[in-house]
Amino acid sequence: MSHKPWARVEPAPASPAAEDEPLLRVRPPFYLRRRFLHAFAPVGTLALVGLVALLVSGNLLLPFGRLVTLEGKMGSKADFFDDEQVRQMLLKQHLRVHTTRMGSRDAATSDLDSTDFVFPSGQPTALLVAQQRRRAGRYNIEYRPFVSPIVLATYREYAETLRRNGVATAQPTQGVDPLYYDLDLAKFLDLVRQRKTWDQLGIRAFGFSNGNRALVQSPSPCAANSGATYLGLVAYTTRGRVPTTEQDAVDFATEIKPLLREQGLSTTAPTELYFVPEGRQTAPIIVLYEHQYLAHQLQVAERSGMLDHDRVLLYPSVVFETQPEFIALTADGDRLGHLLITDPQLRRRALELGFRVLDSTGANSSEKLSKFLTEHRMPVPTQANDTKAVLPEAPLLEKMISVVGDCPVASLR
Amino acid sequence: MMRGPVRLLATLCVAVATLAACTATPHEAVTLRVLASSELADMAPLLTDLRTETGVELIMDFRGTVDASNSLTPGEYHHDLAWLSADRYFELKLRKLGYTGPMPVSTRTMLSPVVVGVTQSTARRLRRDGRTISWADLADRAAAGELRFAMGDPRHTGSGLTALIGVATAAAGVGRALRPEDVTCDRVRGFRTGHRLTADTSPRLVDDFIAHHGELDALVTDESVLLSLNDSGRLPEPLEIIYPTDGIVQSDYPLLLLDPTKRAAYDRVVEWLRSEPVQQRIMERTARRPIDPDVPRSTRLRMAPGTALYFPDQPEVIDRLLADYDAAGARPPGLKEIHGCH
Repeated sequence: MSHKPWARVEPAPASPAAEDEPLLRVRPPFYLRRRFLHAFAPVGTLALVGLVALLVSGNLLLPFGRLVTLEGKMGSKADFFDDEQVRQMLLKQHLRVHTTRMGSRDAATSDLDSTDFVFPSGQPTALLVAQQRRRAGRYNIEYRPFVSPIVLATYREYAETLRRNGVATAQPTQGVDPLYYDLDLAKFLDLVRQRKTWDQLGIRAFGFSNGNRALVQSPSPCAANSGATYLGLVAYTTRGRVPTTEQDAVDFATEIKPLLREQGLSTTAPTELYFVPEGRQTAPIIVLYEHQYLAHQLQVAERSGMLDHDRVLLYPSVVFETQPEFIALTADGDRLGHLLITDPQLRRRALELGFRVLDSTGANSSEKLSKFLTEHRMPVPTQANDTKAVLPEAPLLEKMISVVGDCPVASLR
Repeated sequence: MMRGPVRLLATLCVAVATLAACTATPHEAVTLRVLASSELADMAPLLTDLRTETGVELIMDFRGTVDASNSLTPGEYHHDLAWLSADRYFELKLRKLGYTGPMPVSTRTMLSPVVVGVTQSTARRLRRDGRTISWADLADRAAAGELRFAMGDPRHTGSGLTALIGVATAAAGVGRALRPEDVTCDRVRGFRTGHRLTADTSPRLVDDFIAHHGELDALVTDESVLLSLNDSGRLPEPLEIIYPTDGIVQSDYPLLLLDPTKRAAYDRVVEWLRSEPVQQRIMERTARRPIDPDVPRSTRLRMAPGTALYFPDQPEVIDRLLADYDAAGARPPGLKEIHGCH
């Protein structure tokens, strides 16, 4: 006779009807006894419902640790923290991130008192925060988990029109419908200076007209890092050097101002308008970060098994590598920053979201992204023989931004 | 009664159940006051759903978009949120005030371009040449007395001001954002000749247009308003929608957080509005285009709007356009002859 070790074995009570042979009666284990079931069923059901609710909401591990909600302010890097998989990964570490999306520069110059971290999209903007924090003697730890270059996103008809005008060339080895083009930024800016409209450049060959001048829609350089970086690219391309004195910076800025301001009122977060089906009409050529485009393509590929061949990228011949900087402003923020550079799952997810993840030494490991894109049957963008642009020294760049964008000089705000 | 292990297990179960309940977000009831563009009156049925599903009730205070923008001054807001067809006029107003402080948190909720609905016979006439139609063509027809239209008062409504900027930009033909020197009286005068009916709000404009539709050829307003009007059966025949080939301005209906202490409720509203099923419902009930790129557009919303214009960034441009409009003299809303500037 075998029984479970925890089932109690009791001698059967003596019974007159009992045979002489000694009997051992095994009581059922406690969890099958009626009295236990009566007491336990309601509580057990409640627990089961709770467990299911926790599983469904992905909060299973939460009861066993303090859940910390972090307040973060950032521009396009909110794409990372708003990603559902990233949210789940962070929840497992008992972290929840509440993002406030605004231009990186607006975030950098906003009130950061109840903010755990900011995540400016590039160094000049990060510097604004770092300087202010250091001056005030406040908590400030920086992490650089990944990079993503500034590029121009457009629609095929526009890229092909630029190609026909000798301003863009398709990057090699991509087949009939290339996704990536190289843009001669100097030649493109010449077209802008010549006030050429898209109609004059021949966009009608593609069955529609556009009487607007060929130019790039960029967010305000005062508000967004991408706007400020594009300004830096245009300035460097125009003069082939950076300004050296404040007067020099003002002259630079005045010269390039029309190139950046003829678009009129700049659009906040133009990326959102570019990716809707109406984008071809309302945001045909915009400034964005490479990761935003790659994330879109990877998502389309995952859903439909195909690529979006309408939307293409223009890689400017003059490049400036934009390096987002995660700046922890509190100890909780620091914990998150540390995770970003060390947690293999988060780093893998960053790659899947189109970022060029930096290795442990902080070196750019673009090969990982190339490998990942190849695995997902996506063409790999190349950046060959590019001129590396240099941004002016921070105070001079701030001066230029203020002149072009008609806003106060940021560090004085 | 319960023995040791039983008691332990039961206690654990209660703990798990309680914790699960604690991590779930309760939907506490909140009421928010919203300064809203008048065309958002058509969101009423969705706002009922919003209240049921999130516990947030929006009390809407409707105004024309220009009026609403003019009543918004940083530090002196009287509402918790603002929900405008676009925040461009608000931005220009702040620019004019020289304000460079923080802007309210803002999130786009849906899209709709300002376009032109014309009667079937007008559509046939306009398309006689078989060409596409631009704002400049419409202005020419109006100048020639061939196009009598209803349009919101540009001093009060976003759609009216937007159309005026569209016409002025197309007429200037410079291909960049308008500057004050581009705004000349003659250029918009022709267009204004055809402007026979005006109103301060979108619903009022629609009602007046229906009352006088026999005397009018066109209605200039948001695509969503025109499609909804066609659906309503309030007109003897539906209007045909013309998407001018140039000078389009798209409304993107940003929801602005004016009172930062209402952030949690604001987040609930934004998350709900931008969720896929709600975007779908918005499209079906109000004929606006989803901001969610993954929600497939219904057949009638697949029509590409014309190319968007570069919106002016100098407040003086708007002042100048409106001054010209004012030059026609004070006019009560309603059907009448609107004269050009003098």
